[in-house]
Amino acid sequence: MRTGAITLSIESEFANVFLIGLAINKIARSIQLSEQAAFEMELAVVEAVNNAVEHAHRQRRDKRVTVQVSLEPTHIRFTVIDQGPTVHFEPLMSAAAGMENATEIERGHGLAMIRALMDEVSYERKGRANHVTLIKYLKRS
Amino acid sequence: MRLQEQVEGRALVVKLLDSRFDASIAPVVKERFAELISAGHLRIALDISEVEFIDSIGLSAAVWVLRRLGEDGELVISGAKGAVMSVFRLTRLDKVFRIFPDTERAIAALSG
Repeated sequence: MRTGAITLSIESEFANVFLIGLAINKIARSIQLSEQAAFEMELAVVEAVNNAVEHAHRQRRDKRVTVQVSLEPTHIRFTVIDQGPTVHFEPLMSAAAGMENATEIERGHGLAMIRALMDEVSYERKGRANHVTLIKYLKRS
Repeated sequence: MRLQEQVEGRALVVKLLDSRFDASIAPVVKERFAELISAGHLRIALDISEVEFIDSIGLSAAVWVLRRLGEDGELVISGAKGAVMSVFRLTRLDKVFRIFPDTERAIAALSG
């Protein structure tokens, strides 16, 4: 499988998020992932970017959301970077894990979906930026 | 955001013509549904057969409409394709909404 890396960046508004989604889907299809697997990868990254636009940047267009994509031999890694305030990530992840009532989705947090779709989800504060990393391991054929 | 609206007997069919039901259009969709509900449309089928991608904010707009209709009305979903349907299952919203493969069956259910 080919390896490589690319960095995508958008002005922080919902109208731009689909561009990240389309790029992720195309990259996923290029490494022979199924249509469904590519869709799920696109959805997970879009949810993470939506969170950055809505919660970190409060839809301020002067901010940017950056997505680093790294294709490795065994996995694909996405790092979503925003300039929002520090996120207390663990409580959010725990809340997402306990999201049993489907209608709670109205709260708009896609973390539960990201958890369900990706193999690893982690958070790091670096300088003044939040880094959310999503990893999906690739099945060897 | 593009919607096609058609009255079918007692039901209103609202077809979303965009391929993505996401955060960028969810507020406008909610706004239009609020107008339709205020105008007295309480039995609504949301046809998403053209939709290729849906995110949690798109889904939350549909849940918002469902709640807005309350017990006096109903929102059903029709035409969800494989990948979009998988998101309803993932979020367990397939247990919250009545989902039909096509608008004909959705209209029949709303007319019953």
